[in-house]
Amino acid sequence: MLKFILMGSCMTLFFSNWGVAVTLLFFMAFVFGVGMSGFGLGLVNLIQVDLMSYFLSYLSIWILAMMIMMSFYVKDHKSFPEVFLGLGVGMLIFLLVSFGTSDLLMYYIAFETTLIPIFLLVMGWGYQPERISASYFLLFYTLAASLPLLLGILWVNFTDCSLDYFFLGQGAQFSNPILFWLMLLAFLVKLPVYFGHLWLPKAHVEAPVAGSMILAGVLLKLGGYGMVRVVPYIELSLSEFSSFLMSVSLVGGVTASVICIRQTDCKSLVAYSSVAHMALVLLGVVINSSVGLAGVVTIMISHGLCSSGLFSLVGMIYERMGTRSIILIRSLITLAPLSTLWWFLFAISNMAAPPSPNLLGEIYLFISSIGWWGGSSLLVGGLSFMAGAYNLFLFVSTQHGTDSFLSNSMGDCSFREHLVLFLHMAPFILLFPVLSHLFL
Amino acid sequence: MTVDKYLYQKISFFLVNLMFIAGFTGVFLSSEGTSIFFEWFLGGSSVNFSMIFLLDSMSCFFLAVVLCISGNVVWYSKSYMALDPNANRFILLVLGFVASMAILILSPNILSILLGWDGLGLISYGLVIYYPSKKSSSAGMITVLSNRVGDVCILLSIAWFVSVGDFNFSIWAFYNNVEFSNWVPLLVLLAAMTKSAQIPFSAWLPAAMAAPTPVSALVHSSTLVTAGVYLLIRFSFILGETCSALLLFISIMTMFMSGVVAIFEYDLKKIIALSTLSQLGMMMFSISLGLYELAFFHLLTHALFKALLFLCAGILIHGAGNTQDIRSFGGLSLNFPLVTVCMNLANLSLCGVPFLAGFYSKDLIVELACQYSWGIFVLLMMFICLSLTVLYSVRLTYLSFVGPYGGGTSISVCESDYSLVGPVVILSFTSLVSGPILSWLNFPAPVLIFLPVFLKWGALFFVGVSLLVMLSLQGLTYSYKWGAVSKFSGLMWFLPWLTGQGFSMKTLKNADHLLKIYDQGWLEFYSSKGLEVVGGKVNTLNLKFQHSSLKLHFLIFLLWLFLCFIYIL
Amino acid sequence: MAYLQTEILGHTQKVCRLYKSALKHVFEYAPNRAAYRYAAVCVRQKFEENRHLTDALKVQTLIEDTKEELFQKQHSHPFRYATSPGGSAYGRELKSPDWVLDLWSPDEKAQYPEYFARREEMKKEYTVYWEKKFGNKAEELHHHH
Repeated sequence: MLKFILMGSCMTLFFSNWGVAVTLLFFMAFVFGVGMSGFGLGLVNLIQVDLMSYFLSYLSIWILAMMIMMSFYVKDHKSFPEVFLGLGVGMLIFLLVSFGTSDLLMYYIAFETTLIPIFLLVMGWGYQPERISASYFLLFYTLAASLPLLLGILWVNFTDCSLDYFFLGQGAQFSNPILFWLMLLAFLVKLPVYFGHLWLPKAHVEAPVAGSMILAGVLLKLGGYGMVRVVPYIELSLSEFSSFLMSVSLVGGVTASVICIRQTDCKSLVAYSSVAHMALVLLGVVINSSVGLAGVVTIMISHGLCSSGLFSLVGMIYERMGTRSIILIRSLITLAPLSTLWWFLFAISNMAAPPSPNLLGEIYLFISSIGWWGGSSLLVGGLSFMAGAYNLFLFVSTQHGTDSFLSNSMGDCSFREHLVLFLHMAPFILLFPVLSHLFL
Repeated sequence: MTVDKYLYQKISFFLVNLMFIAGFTGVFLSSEGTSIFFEWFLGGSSVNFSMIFLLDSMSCFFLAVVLCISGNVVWYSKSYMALDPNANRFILLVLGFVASMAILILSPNILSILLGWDGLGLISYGLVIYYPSKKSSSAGMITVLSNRVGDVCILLSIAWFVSVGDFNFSIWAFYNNVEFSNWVPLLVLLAAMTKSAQIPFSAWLPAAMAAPTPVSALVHSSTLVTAGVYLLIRFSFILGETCSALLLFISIMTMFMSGVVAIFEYDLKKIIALSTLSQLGMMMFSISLGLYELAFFHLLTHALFKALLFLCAGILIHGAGNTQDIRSFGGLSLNFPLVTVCMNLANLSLCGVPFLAGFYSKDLIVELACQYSWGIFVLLMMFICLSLTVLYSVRLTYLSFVGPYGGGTSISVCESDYSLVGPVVILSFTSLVSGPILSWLNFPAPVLIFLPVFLKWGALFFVGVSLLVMLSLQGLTYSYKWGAVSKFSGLMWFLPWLTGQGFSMKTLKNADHLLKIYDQGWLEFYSSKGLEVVGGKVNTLNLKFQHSSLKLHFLIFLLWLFLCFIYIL
Repeated sequence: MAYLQTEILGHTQKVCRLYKSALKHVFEYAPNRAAYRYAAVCVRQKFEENRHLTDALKVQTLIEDTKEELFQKQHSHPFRYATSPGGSAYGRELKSPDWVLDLWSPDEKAQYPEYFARREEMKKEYTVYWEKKFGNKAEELHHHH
């Protein structure tokens, strides 16, 4: 793991040359893939990897490459491409540290550091003047919620004398409700669950396409990953609060997906859809069973690829038409028939149609949630139904229709964009057998 | 890129070859009395995740019928879609549809059935919204969302299946004492109801007629909508008493509703769609009585003659320049003699006229239902629905072929187009012979039926009387005299409102409320805007103390002095 | 395009449209052609009866009443021609803008060599026409700077 982090730091030499940077990222991803074998939380080190963090680190390298490929317009317009790339690579390094470390405090530091690049990305390369308030919102909302985590971590350190994952759950078991909320609040907001999600649509709407991709693709997963890591410390009080958290996740997820269908901005629709998906992640963590955990990992990885792909599709439209309004974008099938196919594929993957790993994750989580209470099937069923409704709504309202309002000319996807979409879709589909094999 | 001139014929040839393979495999398997399993193990320890294909006589015969229809439909769409610039997309979607139907038919595993089941829903969505009009977009939405309810039910029943440890339900059929949760039969029933458009999910079936006619022939008559029936037949071992009674109630209501609504419908394709709905009700009815094999038999024969009916209707629509309103038809038997013959064949078969395909299956269902003592109401409703079928079929025939000229234009050139007429003739032949052949294949031993004479004649009596009534009423076209009834039925008993516009309006309004109250209201207030206000006030207060006012300085100095004084004391 | 009223109608036109919609209404309910002809004659009769009315107020109320009656008695399945709004084949063609042709890939263009050759010529002619009519804006802008 350390060598990959060092490789990431070496990339600082190639800020001016985007082609080399992307190639290096893919090289890194390739080496990372070759290194895949049995993992376990075996040795006590500062840096070690298990299956979950392996997949999430892989995801971050991959999404970073995608986001750089998607934002070649930054380079073409010469709007500080070196700084842009530097921020991206910096984010990658800290993501790798946070997924690779075995120390909770180290995780906390890396977790907070990733806020800086995304803050600067939204602030610097965002679209409207509202990006300033949105980026402040993003920063302070998540910061305010995650400061208590530091206290919690120090508390654990004080009692357990270690923060290594290896000892997690082996030291004192805490049944303190205060510690429980200190540890969990940051992740609930980062995830985000409904009620803590307000920063997300704002940040997504204002962020550049690359920012949205990395935000939805990887940064949200930091929350879910962290939750899985801290849960062993607080298992005892988890059982007290699990009903409450389950209700928040289920009702919040349904609410978010119902709200989703009333969005007029494509990007904010996709953003709300990630709130609905992340509700399922919370559900799996709170259930705290092996099937639930499998569901959490599967949903996180598949949602990372899928929503990042959807954001890049919205970004392509915005680049061409200068609008993201569902009302104005119409009948794209007349203008860009190939991208319509991509839209369809990503929309149905986001609604968990069969060959997608989203479906696998949903099945795992359905299994664990009805194991908790049979009646919850109504809510998870509603979540799944609404996922179908808003994704197809998004698809049909942008792609279908007799004539569009667009007056200037607009081409279909360029080769680079096809490549980006393909590189989202291909691993996505391949993940289905891989994940179903690994996590059961 | 140039497209192969014979693309459609080649695909059709391929499909028909597959049909022969499937059919002969079916004959072989049924004569040997065996079935073949293919299992692809995916993973899992306590629960077995695998992809299973089951070849038995039932799945092979169904597959053969689906391939027969799709082969003909592909050939047919060569001419029908000839002027359409997007026909390539069309043909790809149709092929995808056939593939997912095959997966659905061949898999006896709830997990792999989902693959075909979801595929059917999504690809049929792609076919319904094939035309870019607003109408097709809304029709597609109601279709896919009704089907989505079924998808979710299947997903949830997958989760429930974990409690028994294996998703392969064909295995559980052999055990009597497997404890399934009460949710599983209900969920499976609900899924089947959405796919087979039973009440209250009926609205999508007529709406889906916005698709091109060959699609309707393939998708909305014989394959997609029968998926629900097929699922229930496969799951027959799980349906208990409660579920069967529920299904009996729903299926009779659906049969009755669709029969009545079809009489007050004017769109040619929608009439046929509603007749499909009533036949689906018939199949569900026989399932609810426990006559699974008869339901399957009726499914096969119905698929063949319903596809024929749709293809004939397609020729009429094609000839009349895309007009579907039967008020502008009339006297078409002079323009389309061949189509008239074939369409009447299908219609009479649908009515259950002796020795046509529909007769064999329908008559058996009716007589066995009579033999079971289910109460006079059920029997009466069944006979009424039987005569309703005759009423709307004869009305259709009368209005389009027999009655006087209606005022529309139509071109009879279509009848000389081989690729339009060829499939129709082939399907006419199959719907002539499929009845006896399939009954010999499916029921090697004769069924013993023991009935009093008047019940034995009941079916024939009702069919005959309603035929005569309809002819004497000149096709029951004076619907304006029916006032409220015609309006109520013309709007399909307000079912489209219930599950379509009304439901979505309520949901969207509630979504608006949620958005305004939570996301743009309280949450926003208490997280950012409210904090901004409070923080601002605190800051202003603080600023007041920071003023370099002499009085304030002295005041604070005195305060400190006072505090120090107290401390020292 | 009778479904979209874009201008103020004269009295004669109003009555004509009313007559036409009455005929349509009768057609929707008629079981066959002969019955329709009979009903149409009856409608004509009703219109002829009031042909020579001169009282403007009375005429106005009569028109309004007839409209109301038609609305009340409207058919649950109004008859629409296939390609007019609400009809079964309305909006089936995709109207892609003209410039989409310029974005075709070369191998697609090569299938229609004549058309695309002429299209290029047409573009040149159009540019010449435009510059003749409005002047060369690009050059003007260049001069100003």
